[in-house]
Amino acid sequence: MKNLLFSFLFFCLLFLLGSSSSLHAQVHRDTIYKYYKSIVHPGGETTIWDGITFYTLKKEKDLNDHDTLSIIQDLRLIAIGQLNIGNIYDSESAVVEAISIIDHYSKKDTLMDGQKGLYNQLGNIYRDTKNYRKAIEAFDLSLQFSKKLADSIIIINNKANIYKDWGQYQKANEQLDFAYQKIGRDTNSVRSAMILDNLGFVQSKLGNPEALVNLKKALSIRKKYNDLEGSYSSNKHLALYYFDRNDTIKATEYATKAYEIANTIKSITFIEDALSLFVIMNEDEKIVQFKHITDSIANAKQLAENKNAFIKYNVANEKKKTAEALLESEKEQNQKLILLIIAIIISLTSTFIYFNLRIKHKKDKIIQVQNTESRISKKVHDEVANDVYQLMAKVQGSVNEKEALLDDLEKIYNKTRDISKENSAIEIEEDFSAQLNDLLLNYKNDKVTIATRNISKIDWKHISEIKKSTIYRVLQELMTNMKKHSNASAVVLSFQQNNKKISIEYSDNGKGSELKNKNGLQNAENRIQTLNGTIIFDSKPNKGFKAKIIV
Amino acid sequence: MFKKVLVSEDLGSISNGVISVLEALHIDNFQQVQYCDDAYLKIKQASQNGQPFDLLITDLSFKADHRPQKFASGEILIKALKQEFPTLKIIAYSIEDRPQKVRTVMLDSGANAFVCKGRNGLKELDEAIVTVFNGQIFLSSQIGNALREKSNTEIDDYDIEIMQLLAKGMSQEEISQNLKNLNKTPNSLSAIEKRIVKLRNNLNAKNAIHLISIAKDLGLI
Repeated sequence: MKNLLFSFLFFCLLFLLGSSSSLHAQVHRDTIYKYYKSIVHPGGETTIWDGITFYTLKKEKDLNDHDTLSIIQDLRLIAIGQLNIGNIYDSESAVVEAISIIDHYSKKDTLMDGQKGLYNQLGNIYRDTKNYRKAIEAFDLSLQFSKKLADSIIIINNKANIYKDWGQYQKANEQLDFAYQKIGRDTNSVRSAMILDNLGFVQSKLGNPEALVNLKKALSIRKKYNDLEGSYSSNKHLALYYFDRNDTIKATEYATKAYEIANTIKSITFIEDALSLFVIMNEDEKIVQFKHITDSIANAKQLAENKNAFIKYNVANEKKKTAEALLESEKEQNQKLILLIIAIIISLTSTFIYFNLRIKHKKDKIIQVQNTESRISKKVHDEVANDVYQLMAKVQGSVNEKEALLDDLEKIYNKTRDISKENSAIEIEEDFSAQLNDLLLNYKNDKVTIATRNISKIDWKHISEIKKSTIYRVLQELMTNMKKHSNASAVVLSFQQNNKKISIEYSDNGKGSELKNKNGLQNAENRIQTLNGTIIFDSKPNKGFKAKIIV
Repeated sequence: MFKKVLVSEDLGSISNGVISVLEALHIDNFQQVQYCDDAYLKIKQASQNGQPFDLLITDLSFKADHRPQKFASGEILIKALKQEFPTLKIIAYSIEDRPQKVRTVMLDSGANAFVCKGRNGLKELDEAIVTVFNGQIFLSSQIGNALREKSNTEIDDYDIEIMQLLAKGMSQEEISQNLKNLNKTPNSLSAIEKRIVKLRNNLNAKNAIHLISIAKDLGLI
């Protein structure tokens, strides 16, 4: 019992050594200290449970912040608290969780102190559950991470305590010898007294004659430092030493001293432990037997409780896992729902946009058709209807000029044919440059020649039909315009190709004009703009007319 | 003159015009149809009866009606007839005057004449009938160029170079010499002379000076 208490205190010391990482400043320092104290020095106004709850919540927060160092710190405090209130398995699971976090931490080399402390804690947990083999393994691991001599000595001492509990005094002796060697010259310290005291006890069990010397030396050092708890342990061990050697007087003497110290400490645990010494040393065998039996019963009870706790822990754990799985599946369902909603929104928006665009496209098309219709209607009105009306007026006046009448009719006939030609569908032929040449041919006569540059060098085959028909139409309009207005005698069309872009330069030597009104070329401009091309006109009176098309 | 003529035309007034031409030529044995399919059947039947037609005057485009036509247009009809009855003479009489259309009908379908409807249409049709009867082909004046070898109106880099040298004031001899020095062909005096004539035609220039003036105006040099 006393050893247990001691190893716990040592553990606290070790913990303080190991927890050099700063306490997190996210919560007020005082608050943190309050809960920290509640776990490390229980008995204050804040209960251990409050501390555990506080650190459990803090761990969740630190998990969200990905603050690994703080998470480990939180888990260690939870482990200590759980062990203190007897929740061994919760304590173990906290330690194991902390260890696995460290194992997956990229900078785990920086957390050797933490690992040392955690494995030490694990060893203590196994000691409580009397799982000695595992306890030894844990302490060995803890020792691997221990870089400080003082820590190593405490861990070795803990290990020796396990062997002692186990009844393997020889092994305990070896460990303590080893620890004492490590202390070296520092033989008068409290730490040295601790080792000597334990060593003496083990030696006494093994019948080693050095036992008494060591026990007494330990006691004298402890007295010197006024180490009450240490002195209690030494007196107890001396009492047991003499009791084992049937020196009842001396045994009772040391037991009384131990009892007195226990009373000075005012700890019920210590007093109970001291009184149990008298029970063991009692001459009445029945009383000794009573003590023996109560101890076995307590032991059995402890084991049963452990088992029970384990089952409870497993059940709780299963429940927790089920709850987590439920939460997880709920989360998944939520995510699925969100994805579904997003998908629906996207599809709705795209459908909306699609239909909107279609409506707009339709509108554009209708507008285009309307424009074309009104253009043709205007042409028919301006060019045909007017002429027919004039002719009608003429015929009403004089009837006999058949030839003149025919001439006028022919003019009107030609005009209607021109309108028809300008608006009929063009079938793009394989040899588009020949088709263009044919078009130009129509406008050639005795008065005007039309020459081309590089028309056959254009790779017409890889130009889209729509582009070709637009070029055809625009050139047709330029030519019609030329024939109507320019009085030119020579026209040159220069072609050039730059990848998919075709540029055509039109140039005539006609009378030109001020570029005020687009005189019928607005349509050509519209056509080119529909294909995202450009058309630039350049003209001045008597300077000819030029146009540059890039499409 | 032709003994038996078929007129395929869907507009009655135009048919009448054609018939007046035939009558003027003293051709009395003629028949009229309004659809390509009918024309084909008539010709075929006449051929089987041993009294074949020796001339067909046909329009190219016909108004569609409720009956689906095997021959949708005049050029298809002409092509089929020419394959089946090579001796039958055919004159296309159409509003069409696009050179590419004329070429298709004349070269691909194999018509013997192409007459454009217009002011002088009937006069030209008269001429066409006589010409075709004499074993020649006939084209209306406004499409006279359509079957010619493509008139060369393309101005190439060589032409530009010659004009540039002319603009510098060089004589044809000097240009020839200059090209020889640069190892460019053709560089003979006659070739250069030909080129300049061609260019003058292409740009409607009266002489070399006029040519350069126009070329400058048009931004060629």
